[in-house]
Amino acid sequence: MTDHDGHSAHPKYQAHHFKSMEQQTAAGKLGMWVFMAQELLFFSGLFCAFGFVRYMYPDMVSQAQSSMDWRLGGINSIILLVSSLTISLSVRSARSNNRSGTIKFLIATMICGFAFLAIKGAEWGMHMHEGYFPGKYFNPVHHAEIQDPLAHIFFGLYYVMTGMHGLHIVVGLGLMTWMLIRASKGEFNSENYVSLENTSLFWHLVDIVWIFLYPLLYLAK
Amino acid sequence: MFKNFKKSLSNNPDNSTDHDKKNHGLLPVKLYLAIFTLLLLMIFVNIGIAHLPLPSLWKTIFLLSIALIQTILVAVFFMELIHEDKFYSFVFGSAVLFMLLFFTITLAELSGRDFFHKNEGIKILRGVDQKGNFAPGGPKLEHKAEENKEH
Repeated sequence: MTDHDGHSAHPKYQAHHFKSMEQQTAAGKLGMWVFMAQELLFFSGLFCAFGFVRYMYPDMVSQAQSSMDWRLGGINSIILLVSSLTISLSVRSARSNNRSGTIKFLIATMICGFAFLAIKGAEWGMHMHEGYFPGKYFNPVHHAEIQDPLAHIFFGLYYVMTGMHGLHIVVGLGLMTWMLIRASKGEFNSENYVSLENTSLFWHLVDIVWIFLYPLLYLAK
Repeated sequence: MFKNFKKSLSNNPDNSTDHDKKNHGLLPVKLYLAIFTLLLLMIFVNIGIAHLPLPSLWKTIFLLSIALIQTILVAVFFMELIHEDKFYSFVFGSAVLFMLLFFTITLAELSGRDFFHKNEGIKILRGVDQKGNFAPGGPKLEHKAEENKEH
């Protein structure tokens, strides 16, 4: 950590239209929270659709859920939880002017993100192997456990919900790569950390969405 | 409520010294680890609930209650709302409020459809199939129709 990084109100990272770093940080955080509020409303539409389908087709949903492996979902839950902890520690490290800690915890978070995607991808592969495709492509193989043609509705929603969540993971990984480059350049310190913190907020939101997806899709049968 | 936020967005940088001190307080690593352990335990509690011989509705209620507690813990400690300005909580909280409003109205309407269906009103108001189903082949309504025939 270079000496000048630790100084307060350093103009290097301050955009010209802000009066102070504090003002810049507050504006950045507010923007992120407003964005997250709309993200919540976006996902709520999908959750509401799931509630509708569950209400209308309780037997079909229950049968379709038997194809969900709660062990794989549980492992993914633990992976995301660990990643939430590591990204929080990464922000904490940045705010403590600990550059190597910031980088290490960011890398750990990214490893968790990739592990999550790998497991989720494997799960999708298993479903598709059985012929559980969404919508009109739903065509279960002979030995498949679920033969109810209405199950295409459940799988359609399942792919959209977990797919959108997975897309957010990919975006989060992209943001973290960017943060990693910036952290390695020594850009983050106790005064300038709002981009990293906003990335962590986004990642926590992804974790919160999974906190609800896991019980609803895998456990509530 | 939004005093600190207004201060930090104000044009005078000297106003924000109190806010800085408050915002720069770091949570102890032990607290992060304690919250992590608690959240981990809750995942296992959820898995345990899923394996209990409970009716589906109760199971869902318990699972979602645990998920809600997990969310609050993540928001308060990991997202650090505990020492952030209350305005951020207000922004996020208002989204949660509208989400709940959305769920309540939509799902209440859904459960009210049976009432409208009985009175035949819904057939005129909205396009439904010959069986009176909104979602064609919906087992719930078909099952009800069969029950009515038996009576």
